[in-house]
Amino acid sequence: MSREKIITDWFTLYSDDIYQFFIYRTGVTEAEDLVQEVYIRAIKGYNSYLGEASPKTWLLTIARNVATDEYRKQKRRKLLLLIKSKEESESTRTDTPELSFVMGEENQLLYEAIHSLKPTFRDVLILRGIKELSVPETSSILGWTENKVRSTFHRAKKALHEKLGGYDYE
Amino acid sequence: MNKDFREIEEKLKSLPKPPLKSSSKSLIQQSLREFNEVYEHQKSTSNSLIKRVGFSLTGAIVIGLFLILLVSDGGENDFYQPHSFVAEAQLKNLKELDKFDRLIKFPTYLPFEVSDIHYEEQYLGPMDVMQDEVHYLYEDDPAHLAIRTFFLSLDESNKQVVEVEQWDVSVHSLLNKNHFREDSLIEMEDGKRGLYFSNGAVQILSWEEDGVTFDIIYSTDPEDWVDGRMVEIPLEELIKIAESFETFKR
Repeated sequence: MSREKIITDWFTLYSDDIYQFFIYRTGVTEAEDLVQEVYIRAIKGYNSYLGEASPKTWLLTIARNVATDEYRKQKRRKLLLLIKSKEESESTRTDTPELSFVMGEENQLLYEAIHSLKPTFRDVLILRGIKELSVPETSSILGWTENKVRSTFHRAKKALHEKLGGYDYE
Repeated sequence: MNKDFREIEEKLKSLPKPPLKSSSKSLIQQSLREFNEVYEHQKSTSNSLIKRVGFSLTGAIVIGLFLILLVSDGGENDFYQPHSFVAEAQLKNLKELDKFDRLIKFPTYLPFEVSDIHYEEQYLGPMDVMQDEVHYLYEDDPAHLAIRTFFLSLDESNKQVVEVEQWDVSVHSLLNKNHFREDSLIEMEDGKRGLYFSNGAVQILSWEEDGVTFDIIYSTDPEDWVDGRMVEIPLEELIKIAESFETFKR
């Protein structure tokens, strides 16, 4: 089977999973572009795929790397904003209407809380909590030991609970 | 607390998992087909600036000759020659650099006028979780710290940043990089091998030298991007920056 056919099949099978990962990891606005970036990297890196992990795990590993690059890009963007005038440096969220549409009003508070956590917590909450991947799968995607997955998931839930501040988040 | 955690787990499981819109899927698939065609074509013609450096006998000889030149040049390198560094006055104020006993280099050329610099360190190494806190086990060992220096342009019409990262090669080498691919290796003027990467948001040129992994990361203000991508500078400019690096002592 040609590389193009295989990647096309993987797109059909897993693009929704990758999209959902990005919705929670980076935001609704960027998610579609980042899905495309994952598959471009998959095309480029196809020869390095050894079949040790499932294609879904491999693609989510790439997605996580893409998300990390995106995070660095956003950090740089903030740094650039530092050199602008103060009025201009007010950050603005542009994905709020789209977010309401995708998440529904009732889930926005929880979504915002997840989004305010540090990237490693977001990674593990999305993979273990939302996508319900197993500990070994999450371990493979994040490149962590299984113990680290368990302990970080626990700490992430604790941090999320604190973010939600003891009030009803429904 | 366990009850709270269980509730959180249930809430996480029940969060929406919206599918990618079918119209977006079609567009992405079309883009991927086009990309694949171009990529296949580029691979077969391989006439771009980025040259493959395989681990061939020729490559080994070139690297060997380079190493011999380095060794034979060692005597001259013992003497520190002052150079005019970019933002030299601000670099001289970086007391944080004093704890590093490895080679430190900074550029003497950047393609824009620098208005300000920003300094950071980044830990990379073993960590442990104790009492719900992450502990960096070798935080006091400078070998595990990257020197990150951002050179900022305040030019209103074209805001640019060059970040220079310097890692101990034993902690972070070219091979450790997510984007490492042999076909992204380029040959620099003095025989060093550089790793080039760009993704529309950043351009990165990395190389190893005397036990240090250097990264030059170029990016611009996203407000100046065109069609969602930054206007890239030529690879030759990045190489010129890299080749302008000189040993720095405070």
